[in-house]
Amino acid sequence: MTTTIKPNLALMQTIAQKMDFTLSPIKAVDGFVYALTFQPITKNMLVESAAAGPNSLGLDPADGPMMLILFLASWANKKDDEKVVQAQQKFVAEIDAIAEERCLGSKYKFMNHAFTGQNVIDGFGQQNKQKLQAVSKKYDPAGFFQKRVPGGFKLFV
Amino acid sequence: MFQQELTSIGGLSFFSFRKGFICDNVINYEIVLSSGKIVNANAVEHTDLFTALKGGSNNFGIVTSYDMRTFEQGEMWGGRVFYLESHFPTQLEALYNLTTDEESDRYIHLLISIGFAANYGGMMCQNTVYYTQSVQNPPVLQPFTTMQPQISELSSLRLGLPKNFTDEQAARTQTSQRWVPFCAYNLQSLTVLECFG
Repeated sequence: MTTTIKPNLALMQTIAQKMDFTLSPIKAVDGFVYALTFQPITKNMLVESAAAGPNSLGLDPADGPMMLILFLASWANKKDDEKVVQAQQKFVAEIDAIAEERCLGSKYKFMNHAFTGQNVIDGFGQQNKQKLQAVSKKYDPAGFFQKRVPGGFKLFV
Repeated sequence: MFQQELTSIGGLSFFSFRKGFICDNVINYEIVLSSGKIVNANAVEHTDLFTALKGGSNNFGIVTSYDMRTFEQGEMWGGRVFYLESHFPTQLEALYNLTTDEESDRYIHLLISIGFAANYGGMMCQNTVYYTQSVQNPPVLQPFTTMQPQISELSSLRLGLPKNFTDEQAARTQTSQRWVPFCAYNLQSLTVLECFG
């Protein structure tokens, strides 16, 4: 599960401080293992990305720098799925709300780290989403990869 | 499969600070469309599909092959260090400073983590750092590798070829639990469950 913020030390410290408190209801889950990871995207990296030619990610050097935040969990039993996933979703929602309040939020969600149900395609921006939808209609007019292939992040939701 | 995903959903590598996302370095995708037709998408053929595949993931077909831009790369340096929770605030500060420095070194790649493991009952921190030139302990990464105390017997900092470091990441994937990739450390048993990074 993931979110993205504009780098800000106070917000990063707040996120790390909130982690233990927010996860305390699920620490007793069998085999529970958890990590909160901060991974930077520098402005220079986005300059290199732009120079390499167009992609669909919707990121511009002006969007940088960015800080990707990754929430990773592992646990032993299926019966705890809902409890763990909901606790993580709540944590991500809290962070997003604080970031928005401080004008430090970002719509971009790094797909590599995203969880089912996270709004990754919208995070590319409306223009890119519409381009992706147009490409889908052109190369897959019956929507096979939208309706018949499970998994991933669909374009028309 | 993991590598294919990275080439069509974005992807970060040891080299991203100077090469962009992994998908930025694809020069051709061979893809099977829903009609069964096989096409190539690149800068001159099906250019709209080429751009879409760089981030658009598995929405358009099945990518059966891709060609990537290559560059010369010899030995690099890096690995992981493990340390206690008390250092994490200073690590966040060092990461913030590095991220917001517009002159920051383009040969680095790093991420920092704080984790919890039920069987350990406490928190542990890990930094994963890389320098993609044959330079040991570069000054730019020292804020992330020289904290004391650290669990020095677990430190894996060394020179090596890139495959040495990707093997290290791949070797530490646990499959017996319900998970997304995870990172944790058990002090008593010295069992390290490593992050996909």
